[in-house]
Amino acid sequence: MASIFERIALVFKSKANKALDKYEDPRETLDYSYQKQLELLQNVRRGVADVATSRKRVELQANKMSSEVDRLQSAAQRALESNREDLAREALTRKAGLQEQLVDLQAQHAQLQAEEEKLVRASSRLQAKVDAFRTRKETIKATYSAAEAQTRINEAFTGISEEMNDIGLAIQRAEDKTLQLQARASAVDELLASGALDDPTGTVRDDITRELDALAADSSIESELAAMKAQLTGGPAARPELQAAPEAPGHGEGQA
Amino acid sequence: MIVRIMGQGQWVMAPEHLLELNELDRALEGAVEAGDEPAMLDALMKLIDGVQRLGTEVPEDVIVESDLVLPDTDVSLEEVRALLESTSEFYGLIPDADDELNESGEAADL
Repeated sequence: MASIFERIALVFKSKANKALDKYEDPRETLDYSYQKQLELLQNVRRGVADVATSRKRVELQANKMSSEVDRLQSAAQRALESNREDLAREALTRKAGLQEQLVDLQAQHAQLQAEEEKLVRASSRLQAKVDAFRTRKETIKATYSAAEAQTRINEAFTGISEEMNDIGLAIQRAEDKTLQLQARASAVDELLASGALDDPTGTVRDDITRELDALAADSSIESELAAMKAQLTGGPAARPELQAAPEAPGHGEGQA
Repeated sequence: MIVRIMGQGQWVMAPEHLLELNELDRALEGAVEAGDEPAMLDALMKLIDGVQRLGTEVPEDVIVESDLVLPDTDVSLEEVRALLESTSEFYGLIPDADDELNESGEAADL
């Protein structure tokens, strides 16, 4: 097991060597590197927070979308009860489209969650290594002259430098991914806000809702009328067919 | 041998364990060359699984350089290529360099 992975390892080594070459007194490298480590640790923590924010946002969107799905399901149910198969079909079509987006959101959510967990672990790893580095740095500075310290500094520096490069790359990638997902999340937010989520033109769903509301109003008026008539004629049991009529298929037109 | 899995940490591997993973290493290399991303990810996932299963994780407070570095599983073929290309300053983009590295690497494993 070698080739590709040795070559990738070389990338890390060369970066460490280049950084080492910059200093006259190798002990300076230690202090400078330690500063950099602290900065990186801050970046990692910010990265974790960013990913968590994105994850929560996607979570909220998924919840909203899921209740949209439920709403359309019951709209379809209502439409069918009112004998409007066309509207029911429309609502179910919308629902199917929405469910696709929901699956997509859920996949994004899983991705972000995995990313977040990885960064949290990376952050704790880096913290432990930064602490270990500080101890080593102080020992080296207290014990060795600049000339004597060289080897030990190289050891300490290349190890931590590899760690930093790796985490630096991980943070970079997490940021890239988060940005991509955020762009998509913004698009979904806009759709949710415009109420056109389930239809690009934003008109058809309004029709469904309006028609269903109209039907609902009709039927509630009908049932109120039925109830009043029943009271007048002496009890609801006397005229049961009036209340049952709107639900019976085939009689819808007659009622309206 | 110390093996780093990018973004996940480092593992100590015994030489015989590394040999066990050699087959997967070749599959992965072939997949990268052939531009076959699913095959690459498949091999990479098995490799990473093998390293984590057979190796011992380096403690968090130990700072040590790696001999080998594996990309993480969420990497794309493009990213692996980019990583490899950044080593070209040492070896140039000469195809032979791969074989040379391969031989020296295997010799080191034994």
